[in-house]
Amino acid sequence: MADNADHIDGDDNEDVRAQQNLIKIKLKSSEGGIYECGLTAAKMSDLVKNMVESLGTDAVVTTEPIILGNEAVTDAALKKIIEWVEFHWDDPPVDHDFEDEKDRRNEELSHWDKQFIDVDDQALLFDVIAAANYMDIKGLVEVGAKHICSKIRGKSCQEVREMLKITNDFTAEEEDAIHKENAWIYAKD
Amino acid sequence: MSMKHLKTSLETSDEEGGDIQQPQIYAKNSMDRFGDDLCALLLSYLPFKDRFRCECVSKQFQRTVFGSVVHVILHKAFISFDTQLLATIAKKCPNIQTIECRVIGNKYEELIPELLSIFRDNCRHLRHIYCNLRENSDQLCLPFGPLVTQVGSVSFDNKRSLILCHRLSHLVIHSLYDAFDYFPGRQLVAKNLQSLAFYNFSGHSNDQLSALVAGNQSIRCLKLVNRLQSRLTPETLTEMCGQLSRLTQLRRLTLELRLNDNENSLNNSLRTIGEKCWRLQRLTLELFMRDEPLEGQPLEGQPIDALKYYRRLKRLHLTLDPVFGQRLLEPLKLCHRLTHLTIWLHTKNDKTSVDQLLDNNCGNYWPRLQYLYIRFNEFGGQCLDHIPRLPALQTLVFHCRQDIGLNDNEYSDLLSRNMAQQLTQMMASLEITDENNEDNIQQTQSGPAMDLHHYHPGISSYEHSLKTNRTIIHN
Repeated sequence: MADNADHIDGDDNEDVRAQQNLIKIKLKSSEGGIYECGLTAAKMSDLVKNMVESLGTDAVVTTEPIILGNEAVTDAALKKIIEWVEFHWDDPPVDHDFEDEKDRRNEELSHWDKQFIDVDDQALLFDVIAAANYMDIKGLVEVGAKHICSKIRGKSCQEVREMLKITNDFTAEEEDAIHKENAWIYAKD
Repeated sequence: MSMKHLKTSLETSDEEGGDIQQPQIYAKNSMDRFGDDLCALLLSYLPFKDRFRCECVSKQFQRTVFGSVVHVILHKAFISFDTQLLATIAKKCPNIQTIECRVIGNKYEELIPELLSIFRDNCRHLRHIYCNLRENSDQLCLPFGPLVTQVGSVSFDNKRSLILCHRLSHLVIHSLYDAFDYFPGRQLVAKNLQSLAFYNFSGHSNDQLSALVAGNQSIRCLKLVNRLQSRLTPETLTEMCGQLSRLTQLRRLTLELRLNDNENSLNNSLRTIGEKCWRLQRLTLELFMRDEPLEGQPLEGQPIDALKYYRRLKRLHLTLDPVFGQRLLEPLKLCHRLTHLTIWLHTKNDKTSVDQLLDNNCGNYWPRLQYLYIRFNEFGGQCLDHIPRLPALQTLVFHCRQDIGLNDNEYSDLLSRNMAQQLTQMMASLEITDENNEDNIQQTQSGPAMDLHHYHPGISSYEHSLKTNRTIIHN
């Protein structure tokens, strides 16, 4: 019936994405490791997307690995990143008519993302975030950011420094002055 | 207590020509390794107060933690701050664009202009003020009117101040009269809005509704509530919907209506809007036909049959009171673009309605449905049978009222026998479908059993997010 036909446009597009994800491309880490990843999933990285599109035909893409030269893209980080994009490539597209940027920022991470990003090895965690930033995978950088901010929330400066291994480059006097200026946050509402 | 500054000899890029000199090399497990831009991005998810708490973590934090503050909520705590302190806060956050003043509380409203002037003097990107116009609104609107873009409530004496807010885009009013000046000439004071809500629509104001619609063709989001004491007659309903159908930019519409029993006028009115407002994507419809649950037969016929004219809808929220009969949900099967569907039923035999809705063809009706929420009185397992056929479903919520006539044990038994089992199969089926990339869901019986963690008996609703393998229980 015509009723059905004229209302399912756009699904073709989803089929194409699913089809394209069956094509595997190779990604090469800065340590030299080569890993396979579905094409649609890999294109969640704007960097990879641009490289693939500038190379033109898919045939070339599937034979030669795409080189990700940034030092944060270690073997371990790249494996994590591929895990993330392979899970998320078929997420429904962001609906700009409804989803406010502000709402999305405030939304809590999904259970899967929480487990994914809760990495004990902080060097690996930071590699994943820096590599996602380099590869321009906005969704994954956001997951990392929300994770770090949830850990920072409510902690003192010293606790934050110890947790994230941050060097305090303030003098004691400077730190004191800032504390005084911000004393209002400790007042009761 | 000073932290050791670890240095490592990381290799730079191993590609030819990759002779990138890093000015300083940091430990890989230290956040110091990030540049200011990434650091700023990561910290942009912190709540307002935590940013100040973190300011003295490091100079990099101090440089990067405030730049992303664009939206500030005025709390009553700010009232006790002296001017100096507020100015310091405002200076630290120079990119503030929006100040929300609607939650500060009535008794502090008169202090708002003073607070705003401090922010205006220090934040040159300030462009939006959200406020109420209840007390002395001239004091606020004379200096800040051009910045006011959202107004949450207007008192009778202050509605004229709306004229000063040329850029107003979002307005909430109590009744239609609030959008018009009282003297002279009853001029329309709110024009070119994008979003409008009014909470006390009565049937007597269709002339004004016509003027309002004419002056606000730009409205994309409209909410209209009519209260119990002013039940709409069929004539006013028809007239009202005729007016609303002139808003061709509408994307979202919420109608909360108390009506006299008259299916035809409801049906025709909804049809008019559905046909004319073709951009509409999100509809919330709450219909109350009578105050008391009906003792006799429910209405026959198809009072919301007109929903078949809303085929472009992506999100639909339906709340229906007891008078509606069976098969009333049939027209939803023609809304093939739905991504979110919420149904609150208080009807008799609502179980049957839902069972009829979720038939073995539901995957064809709603190929994109991600979110399904059903709230009903009677719960039966049958509606679960076909849910695995919805290919895009991510979140499923069933919410039953407490008084479903089952005790905790029976209920938990029902849940564990029906829902848990069904959902287990559904999880498995989705896994199989993903792997084989085909739509055959029939082969699910032997799928791997999933562990439904967080499963608690004796609760009233059950949410299962397929994608995240997460189960949530609501009380």
